[in-house]
Amino acid sequence: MSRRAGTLLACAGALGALAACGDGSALSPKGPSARDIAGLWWLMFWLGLAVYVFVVALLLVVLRRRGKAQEPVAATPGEGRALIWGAGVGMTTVVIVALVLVSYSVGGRIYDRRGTSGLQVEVIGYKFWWEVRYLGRSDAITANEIHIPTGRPVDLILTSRDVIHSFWVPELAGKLDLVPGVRHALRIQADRPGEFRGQCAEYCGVQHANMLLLVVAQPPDDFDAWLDRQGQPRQQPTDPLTQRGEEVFVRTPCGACHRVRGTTATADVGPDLTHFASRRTLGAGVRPNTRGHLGGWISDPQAIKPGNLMPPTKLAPDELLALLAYMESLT
Amino acid sequence: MLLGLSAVATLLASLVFAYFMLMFHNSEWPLDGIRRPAVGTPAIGLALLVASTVPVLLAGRAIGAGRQRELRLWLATAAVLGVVILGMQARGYAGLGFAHDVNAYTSLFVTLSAFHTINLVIALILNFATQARAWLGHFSAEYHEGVRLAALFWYWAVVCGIVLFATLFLGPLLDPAVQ
Amino acid sequence: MTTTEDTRPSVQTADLDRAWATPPGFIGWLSNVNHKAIGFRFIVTAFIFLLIGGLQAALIRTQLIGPEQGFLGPDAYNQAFTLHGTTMMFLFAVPMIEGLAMYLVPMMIGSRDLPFPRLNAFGYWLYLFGGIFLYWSLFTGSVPDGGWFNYPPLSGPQFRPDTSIDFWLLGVTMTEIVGIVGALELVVCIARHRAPGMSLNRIPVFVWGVLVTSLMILFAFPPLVAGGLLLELDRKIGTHFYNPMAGGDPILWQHLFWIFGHPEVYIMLIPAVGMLATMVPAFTRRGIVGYPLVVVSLVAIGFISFGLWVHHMFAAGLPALAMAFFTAASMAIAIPSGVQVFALIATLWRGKLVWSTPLLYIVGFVLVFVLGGITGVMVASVAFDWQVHDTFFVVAHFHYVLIGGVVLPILGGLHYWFPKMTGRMLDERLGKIAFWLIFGGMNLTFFPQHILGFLGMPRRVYTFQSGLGWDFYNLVSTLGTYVTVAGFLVYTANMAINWSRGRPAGDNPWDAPGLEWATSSPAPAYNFAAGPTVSSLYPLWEPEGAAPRGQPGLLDELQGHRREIVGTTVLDAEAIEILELPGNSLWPLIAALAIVLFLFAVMIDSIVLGGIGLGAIVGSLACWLWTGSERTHE
Ligand code: HEA
Ligand code: HEA
Ligand code: HEC
Ligand code: CUA
Ligand SMILES: [Cu+2]
Repeated sequence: MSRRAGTLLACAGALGALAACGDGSALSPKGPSARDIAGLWWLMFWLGLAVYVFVVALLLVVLRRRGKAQEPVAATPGEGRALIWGAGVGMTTVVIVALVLVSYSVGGRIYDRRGTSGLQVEVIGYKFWWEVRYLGRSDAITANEIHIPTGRPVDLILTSRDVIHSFWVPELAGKLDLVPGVRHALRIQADRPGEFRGQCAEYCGVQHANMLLLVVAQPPDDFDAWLDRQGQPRQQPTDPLTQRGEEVFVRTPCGACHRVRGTTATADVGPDLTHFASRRTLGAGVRPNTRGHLGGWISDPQAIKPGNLMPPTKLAPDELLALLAYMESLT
Repeated sequence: MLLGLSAVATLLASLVFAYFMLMFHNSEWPLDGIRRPAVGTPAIGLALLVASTVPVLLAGRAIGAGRQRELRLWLATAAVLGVVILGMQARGYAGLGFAHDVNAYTSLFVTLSAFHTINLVIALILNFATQARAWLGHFSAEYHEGVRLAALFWYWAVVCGIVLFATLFLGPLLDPAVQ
Repeated sequence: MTTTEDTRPSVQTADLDRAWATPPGFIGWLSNVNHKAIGFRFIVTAFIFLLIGGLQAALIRTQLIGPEQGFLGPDAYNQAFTLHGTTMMFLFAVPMIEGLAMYLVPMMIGSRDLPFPRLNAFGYWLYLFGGIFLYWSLFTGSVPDGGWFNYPPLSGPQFRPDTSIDFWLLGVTMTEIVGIVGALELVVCIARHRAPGMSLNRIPVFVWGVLVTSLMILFAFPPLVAGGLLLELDRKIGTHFYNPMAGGDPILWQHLFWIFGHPEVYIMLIPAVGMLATMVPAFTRRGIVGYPLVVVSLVAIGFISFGLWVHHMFAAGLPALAMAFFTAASMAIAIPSGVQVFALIATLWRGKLVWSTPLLYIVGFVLVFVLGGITGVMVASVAFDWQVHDTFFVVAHFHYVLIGGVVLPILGGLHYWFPKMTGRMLDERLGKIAFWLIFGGMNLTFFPQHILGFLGMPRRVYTFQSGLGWDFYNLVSTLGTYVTVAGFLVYTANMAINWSRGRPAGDNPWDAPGLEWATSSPAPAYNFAAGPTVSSLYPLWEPEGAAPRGQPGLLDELQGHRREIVGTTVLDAEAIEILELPGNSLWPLIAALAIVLFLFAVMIDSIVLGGIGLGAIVGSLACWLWTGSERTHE
């Protein structure tokens, strides 16, 4: 029975662990850092499982023994010494020395990859959204979506303008905090094109849960094209509707918080919207970027993401339509 | 009592830790162009503080031998010293030229100094209470717990003073930016 | 049971009853300072806080039962986990441990009371008021929501200008003071008031655990008091300790918090493990195996635990070398922990098992705690922790160790000592049902959370989107919580029913070896009419008549008509003096109220009220000391 229980346990553990390998998981790594850590995990998993199964099996054997009835007595000195020293001290020491060494080597490998990579992206945390600036390309500012070229290391420079946040994209790398007043460097790299979900991992207030981000890995050529585009000012509105929309944007409170390069709206309280229409999500990932959701967001962001720092704006229906058309033209 | 003091000592250690951590966190120390504090007057205060342990010690000796008058005398001497030191500290605060809410440096300076002052005040209060009891003749050669406790706290206030002097006045010299 | 037989005619129980009596009525109840009364109040209050904290957990889990739920809004959710964590750590676990220690330690070491009874009562009142203070925030609408570690700048004046964080800081500081006060008292009691003959190698493991924990508290709590003080100054008078814009550093708080926070978890664990080691002989009919090793490793855990705190900050961007040290130190603590676990298993192995409910909790401890410990060793690896830090994997780790290592031992301990406290037995069948529900429920709740961590679910999120593969595991987790709640209902009902109606217990229902079973159940206020002496680790298992007298001379001088306890030497517990304890008093209550008044004034920025409060503190302390000072040790 104890053997069966042990096997059962092992299976349950392994199944659980395998279940954790679906897409988006830290255990389906898409870059070198995450891969190293996943490898470390599997080693620790098997060692840990072995230790646990050993303890449980021992316990089951012990509990099934029928001791003989006896007068209560004190333990004799030295009794059980083999078990306590052998398993408690000996086995444990061996296992943890192994784990410490492996852990150091993996950690060291991840550190060693630091150094200048050429591409540096500054990621600035704000309450419930991320500002993204491509260093050396002072105009390339976007939000909540980081594009990177595949097969090439990218250094993220992390800092915060308000409270502490934490940058975490499980498929690419471990997390690192964004601390106000300090700049931390985190290297990420994606092997192949893809979209990788990330999420703020340090509690930062009401909408910590909806401070999401997306890393989009593209073939280098696509990436360069994308970056060039982001560096441009906004798409000039050409038809009357979008022209009207731009006017609404600049005139209403929008312009007091947001920047659209090429217009008089230059504030940086909220995300840069110059190429908003090229982004996949809105509100730092709460909703897909579609016309319906955008309309809902502009009229009442508090209904979608209660407690975020954008106030609702009252607009006449035709103004809203124009604004929506304008926003959709910001590709 | 010793156990209790070790908890308070940990409190002090935590504050000192805060001081040095923030010092090394900043590239400039003191911050915002504030000048490093002058060591002179505080050093005299510290010397007086250290000197004050002598009468406290002698007070304990005296009552141990049953000499009531001597006990009162030494306690009073210590108290006078304590009051003088407090006075010097008050003058020091007045001449500081900054308040606690300028930046992290001033916050630390004021808070840590205040921590010492509070300890000294408590030591003085205990001293006065002990003096009162000494006048009432509460102590004898056999039973003088109260004297011992007050003395212990006094010593603690002195230790606290030394540590904080080292931190606030000598600490900034450790800052790599100084060299 | 010769050790306690009342052979000396000089001790009159009638005298004792009078000397140790509590005045009747409500005022009398308020003025009671006896260690059992106070300990019992601690235990009951802490148990109520456990239920409240559990209720909050149920709310949390209900919100997370599926994606995009609207049961709690973001504000309510954030308040719920803040109060849940704070309640469990500050208002349940530590006070429960201290309450059990205050109740049991004097009996286990053969003393009549704790050495500073009024300090003890003061601690209780401050604890109660601290808890009420924290929960008072619910009525003001500004409820703390900074999480149980309350990181600035989020909790600083810039981002939380209302009073919510002040409620938290002041309430928590009060419970810290309580912890320190209780620790002082327990250390002195254990060092100086053991029964003659109870040399170091005859001290029950639980008492050792309490000693280690109390010493740890003295060094672990002040850093948080300091951290809290600095934060409160930032909030109230505009200092800049944690303000990065003016040279401050929010990471300073993280250090101060975790220098407290890490030892804190072992502060709860060590006495809980001690409790198990003290209970287990009754159910194996054999003493704990490897007693010296168990004790030494408890002490070792206490020491090492002060060198681990940075492992909570692996993602904060600290220098690599520093973090490497903390990895090794954190893993090293697995060795003394392993010794505890294998000593328990060895004891089970050598003995003849008696399957009463407490034994189930002992086995449950091994199964649950070891799993949590192993995941603890995993997260101690810096690189691995970069992935799982602040995710549900960590939530799973710490609930396994907290529930396995603290809650199950406490529940088992309460089951075990309930007869001593009430004179009645709990129902075994209900007890076993409760165990299985709680044990099964907690595994169902927390095992799936490991997987959620890998799947990218951070902790402290009030909601999540569907389609991420999280739905199923969250659902299972929530259902598991409901099972646990059912278990707690059965457990609580068992206590409520048998409190007055249970089978009478007799002095020693488990045929256990410890001194606490040598007196009646419940014990008289003075515990032992004659001071017991001890000649082994298991005094009640000694063959009849084998216990030699320590120093009968001094013990015979114990008077009945005053509250007297024996003072013994630290190492060998030789009786050297007889001390008189002060009696009932209202001043502890009044002093605690004065402190609350003062802190309340700080909170509402009222200088007048603050002055009155400060005056009241000084006044009540003076009166307290005036009305007969306790005979203190140094
Ligand atoms: C009772 C409470 C308790 C206990 C006992 C422990 C025990 C341990 N904990 Fe845990 N921990 C917490 C409560 C506890 N913890 C809490 C509350 C948090 C979260 C705080 C927060 O963020 O809110 C936390 C978080 C936490 C972290 C930070 C994670 C993060 O935030 O990213 C780390 C990292 O190192 C850690 C490590 C450990 C280790 C190494 C042990 C070790 O002591 C475990 C040792 C025990 C064993 C290993 C089992 C027995 C041994 C054997 C059977 C021998 C064989 C074993 C081996 C060979 C491995 N803990
Ligand atoms: C000893 C400590 C302890 C204990 C016992 C528990 C017990 C439980 N905890 Fe908790 N938990 C913490 C300490 C503890 N927790 C801490 C420190 C945190 C971190 C907080 C933070 O991030 O700041 C945390 C966080 C935490 C989270 C993460 C929240 C988040 O990050 O978003 C979750 C989610 O599942 C959770 C769940 C539970 C559950 C289901 C239980 C169950 O075991 C509870 C079982 C149920 C009961 C004990 C009571 C049953 C109730 C009744 C019988 C009704 C009573 C009736 C009346 C009162 C009238 N806990
Ligand atoms: C008081 C400041 C403020 C005003 C006024 C304001 N916004 Fe915002 N806006 C924000 C902030 C802050 C965010 C980020 C919210 C979040 O995700 O937490 C935001 C987010 C957005 C987003 C989503 C961006 C993204 O990439 O996720 C859009 C689109 C947007 N605002 C459009 C508008 C429009 C249109 C108006 C005017 C009708 C407007 N905003 C007015 C502050 C403001
Ligand atoms: Cu930003 Cu959490
Ligand atoms: Cu820890």
